[in-house]
Formats: sequence, C-alpha cells, structure tokens
Amino acid sequence: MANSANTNTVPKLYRSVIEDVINDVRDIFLDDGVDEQVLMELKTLWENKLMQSRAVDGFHSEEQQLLLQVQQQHQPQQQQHHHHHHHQQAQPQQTVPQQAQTQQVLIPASQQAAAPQVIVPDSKLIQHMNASNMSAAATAATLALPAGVTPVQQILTNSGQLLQVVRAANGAQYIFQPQQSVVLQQQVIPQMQPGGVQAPVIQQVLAPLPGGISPQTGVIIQPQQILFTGNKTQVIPTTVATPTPAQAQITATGQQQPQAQPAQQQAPLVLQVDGTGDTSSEEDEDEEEDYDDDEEEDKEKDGAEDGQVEEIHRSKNKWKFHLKDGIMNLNGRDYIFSKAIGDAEW
Amino acid sequence: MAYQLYRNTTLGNSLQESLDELIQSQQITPQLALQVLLQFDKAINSALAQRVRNRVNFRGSLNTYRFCDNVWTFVLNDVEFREVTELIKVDKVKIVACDGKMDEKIANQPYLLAVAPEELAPLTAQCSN
Repeated sequence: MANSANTNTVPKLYRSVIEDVINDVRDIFLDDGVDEQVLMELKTLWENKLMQSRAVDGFHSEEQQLLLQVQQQHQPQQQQHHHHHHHQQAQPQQTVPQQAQTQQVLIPASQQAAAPQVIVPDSKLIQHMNASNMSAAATAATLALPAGVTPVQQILTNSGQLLQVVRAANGAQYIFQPQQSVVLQQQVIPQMQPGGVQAPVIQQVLAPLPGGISPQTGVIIQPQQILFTGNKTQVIPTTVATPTPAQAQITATGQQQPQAQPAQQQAPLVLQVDGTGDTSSEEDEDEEEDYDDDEEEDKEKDGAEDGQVEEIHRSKNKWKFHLKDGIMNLNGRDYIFSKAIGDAEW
Repeated sequence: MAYQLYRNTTLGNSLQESLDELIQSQQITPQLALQVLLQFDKAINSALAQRVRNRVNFRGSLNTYRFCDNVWTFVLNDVEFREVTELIKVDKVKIVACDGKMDEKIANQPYLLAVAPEELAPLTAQCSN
C-alpha cells in the first residue's frame, strides 16, 4: 500500500461527511414523522454501498466495528483465531465480510468434535460471498416477517442453535429459534409491495466447507435481493467474486443452484434533481472496475473529476486549468484535492 | 444553495441509491430524500472547502471542451495525475467543473417571484366570501 495521504484522508473525510449529513437530517426525519430506525438504515445502506464500491480503502462502517466488538465479547478465545482470518481476508479483498443489515455473527464451536452444525468461519464466508446487496426489505421478506421489521442478525451459537435476532422498526428485538432443521432450504419469497413493486428475495444456501465436513451439517443463509435502482438492473450469477458496485447481485457458488427469479424491470425512479453539474450517463461507467486496457478503446472511461473552477485559461491550443475542491475517481479509486493545476493541448 | 455537483460521485451516488431504496420500500418520501440530498450538498461542499488541503497536478491532451450554463466539461486523454505521493495514469478522464465565481454571485442573489396579474384574479375571487 504505497499511497499514504489519500488512503488516510479520503475515508476520514467521507466518514465525517456521512456523520454530518446524518446528524443534520435527523431533525428533518423526525419532523416528517419518520422513525430513527430508517435514518440508521439510510446510514447503513450508504456505508455499505461505499464499501462495496471499493473506491475507498479501509472503510469500515460503524456497525461493523461494533459487531467486531460484540464478537470479541462473546467468544474471546475462539474468536481471536477467527479474527485473524477475518482481518486478513478483509483488507486485501475488501469484500464485505459482514453486512450491517444481515449480519452473521459466527461463533465457532469446538469444531473438532462432531458438531451438529457447521459454523462457517468468516474467511470461508468471504470466499463464497460477493459484495452482495441487501436491503432491509429483502431481509424482512426472507423471514416472512410483518412489514416494518428490518435488519436481521443470525447467530450460530456454540451449541449449534440457530438464532435469529431481528430488529424491528420500533427498536425492539425479537429472537427467533427456528427449528433445528439441519439443512435450510432455499426459499424464494416474492414480496409484493403496494406500489406493485416486486422484490424477489433469494435465500442461498452456502455449501458446506471443504475439509470433510458432512453435508448434513448446518448451513448459513445469506438472503440476497435483486435491486431495481435507476435504470440499471443487473442479475449476475457468478462463481467468482466479481465486484459490481452497488447493484443487484446474485452469487452462486459452484455447489448449489440458486433459485433465481427473473429480474423484473420496473419504471426507473428518477430522484435526481440536478441543476448544474449533471453529467452524461457515460459518467456512470467510471464506477466500474475497468482494468482491462484492451476494451478501453472507445467506450468506458478511466476517470472522472468533479470540481470547481478557479480559472480556465487558453492560449491558441494550450489550455491551463486551475481547479479547486474536487473529487476524482481514477481507475476505480477516489481521490480528493483542494487544488488541481493542469495543462492540456487540444 | 450549494453546488449539486458532487452528487455524481461515489459518495453522492451511494447516498442517492440508498435513498432510492428507501423510497421504493416506502420508508421515506421523495421530498425527504430531496432534503437529504440538499443537506449532503452543503456538507460535502463545506467539507471539501475546509478539510481538504492537498494539491494535484495533471497533464494530458485535450479531446473536447464545453462550457454551458456555467459548467465546464472537458474530456482529456492520456492524462497523468501527480500528487506528492503518487502518480496516476488514465487513458481518458472527464472533468466537470462549475465556474466558482459566477455561480456564487448568482446563488447569493435574493429571489423575486412575480405573479402576472391575470393569475391573481381567480385567487382574489376565492378570498372574498
């Protein structure tokens, strides 16, 4: 990791902006009669998407850090071994090992014995998981819970019991102990919402671990969702972690067949009310991982820069740029500057 | 009224997408989402102005330029960005920049909304009972 300045400042800046915005809109939310829970959900969604986009390094959401603390409190000894794996995998890959909404606190049992349930260590989870996108609606749907129930936590305790901790919209926590069926089936629960929106939800069964553990042992469920945001709907069954920023993903490991419902197109929701600074759609492509130099000929861009102009100067065909206060996305990564000076020939 | 320029960045886009999701699940209204975005504009503008202190140089060849509605849009090719610590090369970059000085003046001007007299007539008619 060569870059020192930017990797330190950018995440911090983003964090502080997020904190400021969330705190400033808290009043607006309350005035509108919207629950604090929704505000937290907004924050979580926002942070998750930032993490998934990989534009920023070392960006951990607060909930993730809290969760790590909780893990440590529960199982100090066994967890340490765990954490080592967890962190090692987390940094280089930068996939999301734990998602704030559907969090799986995995506490390893004494594995050597014939544990009735398999607890998947975080490292393995990461291999199987992509940066999957979950929203509260999806997680709520998977559990077929009444509306208003939002984030879900699944906890595999030491004794091998699968607990589900659900945080309802009013802040109460419910703990479910579903039947100890060892292999949890896939469920596809389409949820029709009043607006006619379908949010099909897929529960995916992660394959049991390699290493000779019988397939009858328990399994972790990872609910996922196809998202329809804006104009993009992507359904990507993959067997390899392929990062796609903040869009719908369905991951399929090689060992099971996900029951994917066909993605449904709906009218794109146009939220953006932009005056100045609205760039053309091709700008979106800079968010994609675009390391292939071959394809790069005509279509995609490597970078985008938003900033303010101090001065633009031209002399014949020599242009000079004096820009300030800008955010750049170059080769997929974010950079920030207070001043940028450039030269170009037309 | 701060620049809405930064909505189309990683930070801004992830916020917009999150708000979209909440709207779709009907947890917030579009108006509320707009308020959040306006707040984001303020926050990011002030954060950039105050909390960032670094300099970048770049050089490349200019492919296209445009100036419309006080917004500059450039496309550069084969660009090198230089910061103290690192060098970044890209084959193509799009720069969108708002003209700072002009827009500040416009943004700070007070508004005057005028209603044409004809339109007032039905309103006055309603008021007089």
